[in-house]
Amino acid sequence: MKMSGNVKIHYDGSAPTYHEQYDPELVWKNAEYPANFFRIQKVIEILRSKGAQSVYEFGAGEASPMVRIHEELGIRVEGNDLSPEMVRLGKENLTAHNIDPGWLEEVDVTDLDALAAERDRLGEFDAVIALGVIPHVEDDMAFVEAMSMFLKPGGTLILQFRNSMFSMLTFNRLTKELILEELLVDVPSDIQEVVAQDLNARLAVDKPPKRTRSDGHGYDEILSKFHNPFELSELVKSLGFHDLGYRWYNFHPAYPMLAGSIDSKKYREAQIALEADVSWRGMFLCSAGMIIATKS
Amino acid sequence: MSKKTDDESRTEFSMTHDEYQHLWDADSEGGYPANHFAFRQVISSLREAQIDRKSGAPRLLEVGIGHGNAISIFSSAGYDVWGFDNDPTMVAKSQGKFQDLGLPASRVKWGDVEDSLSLSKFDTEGGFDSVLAMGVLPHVTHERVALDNMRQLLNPGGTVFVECRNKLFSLVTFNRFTYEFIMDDLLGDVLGPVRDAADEFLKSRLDTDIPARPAGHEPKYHNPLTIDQTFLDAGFTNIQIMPFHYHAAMPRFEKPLAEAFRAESIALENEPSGWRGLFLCSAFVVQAQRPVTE
Repeated sequence: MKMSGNVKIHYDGSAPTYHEQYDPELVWKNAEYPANFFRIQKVIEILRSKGAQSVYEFGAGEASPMVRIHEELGIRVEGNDLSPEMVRLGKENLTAHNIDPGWLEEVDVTDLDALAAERDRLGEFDAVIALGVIPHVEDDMAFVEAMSMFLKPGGTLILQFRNSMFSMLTFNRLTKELILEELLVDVPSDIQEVVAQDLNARLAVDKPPKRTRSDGHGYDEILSKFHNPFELSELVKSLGFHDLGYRWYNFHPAYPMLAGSIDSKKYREAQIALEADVSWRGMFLCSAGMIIATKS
Repeated sequence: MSKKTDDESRTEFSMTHDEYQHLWDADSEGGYPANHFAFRQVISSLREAQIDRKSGAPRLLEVGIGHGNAISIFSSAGYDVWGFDNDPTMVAKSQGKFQDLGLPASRVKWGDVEDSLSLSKFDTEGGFDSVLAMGVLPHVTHERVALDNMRQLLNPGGTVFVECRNKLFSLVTFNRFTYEFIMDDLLGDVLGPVRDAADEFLKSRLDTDIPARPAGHEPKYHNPLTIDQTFLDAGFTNIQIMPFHYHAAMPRFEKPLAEAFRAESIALENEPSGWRGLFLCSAFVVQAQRPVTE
């Protein structure tokens, strides 16, 4: 399991504004859709329904989610992050909210020795969560195993991922890649070529644009994988989890490429209205989801 | 034709090498051998089920038996096959097939899966270990009634195999079905200018005129991600989905690519991913069990 140094640089750079994603005041004002605001609400709802009394968070950032969980549920929330800048700001954030700054420590989740030491120091938790971490991890299996190490038997895993099935709906380059490289990967190249030509005529294969940053460490310039929900579920099951379910967020009420041409308030209203949906639809309307599972 | 013992019949019914090769013959009549791949999975599941045969051969009832094409397949697998159909012409045809195979024609009766009274004639025959319904659920009016009736025909612990048309396949067909699935199933409650924009966008990217709407009723399509609830509600348990009828490219290329399309689709019927079939297959079989105790 390895996490690129680029990931650390990316999150050091975004640390100062990271809290804005969770600010209820900015839900309607932020240019970027506040997906993480809805994500943490759903996480809290799940933790409440499971009756979790302790939570450990992988990749806790500058502790905004930890603070929210602690304030809403009044439970112990500890966590780690690999970015020194996130941890520095996180400790300040915790202190400002009268929470023990020792609950957040700098740990690289790819360093298994450091994780094991942390686990020995803290013991097992009722729930272990990782929001926005597995996209940046090379070895998925080692990562879920590491999460499991912190979890009590019968405890709850909440594993966020970028949803590759959303590409079924985006009608862009990612749709073409999903169809040709995932669904039809075993089909010979002459048939693939026929399908590719058909798709080129229908899809906006020049989109989406890459999210870059002037320092070369933008989100799409670092390792930021999509996961296939079916395959990730199988992986989680294979590591001793049962009762798997999905919770989806970051809904899209139309094609992402249309967002700019529709009244932005109406678009966001439609987007936010869908966030209450808990059905199967999220697998195709959402760019991200969470696997919820119980440790056997 | 002289009457044969069951054992003789079973030998005769087994698929021959030539028949098997026929599946791969692009010139063969009757289109893609989709049911072959459905039955292959059903047979495999029946073997896994390990029905207690101490009290004679296991019994299978086919709903909508049609021309009776499946009779020989399940007879040769050791099943006593029974069946019914709501079309008297089909009842007569499949009765003929039973006779040709040296089996009692009385095992096929007229019946309507949505009318439990019409099925009561099977009550004196004892319960069934398996109920098979290919191409039935897309055409029934009252789905829950049909499923309840199928469950009641089963012995406790017995298994139903029900074919459904796969709604998710529409995500790769880029035609009218895609439009309807996205606008109705996915964006059904999105309204106003956002809906209008999605509508206009889709119409410019999809072949919304194909396939043409059928003159009569349109068959129902089912979502494999939610079908388990339909069967749970009807009192079944241990529900599994088995996709079949793969497509190696969009359906519109089936004719132009002809042999290659067929051969590559057949090859895909063995792919082991467990999820690709949810999108590449136009149909799936739902396997579900009547609980041992209700």
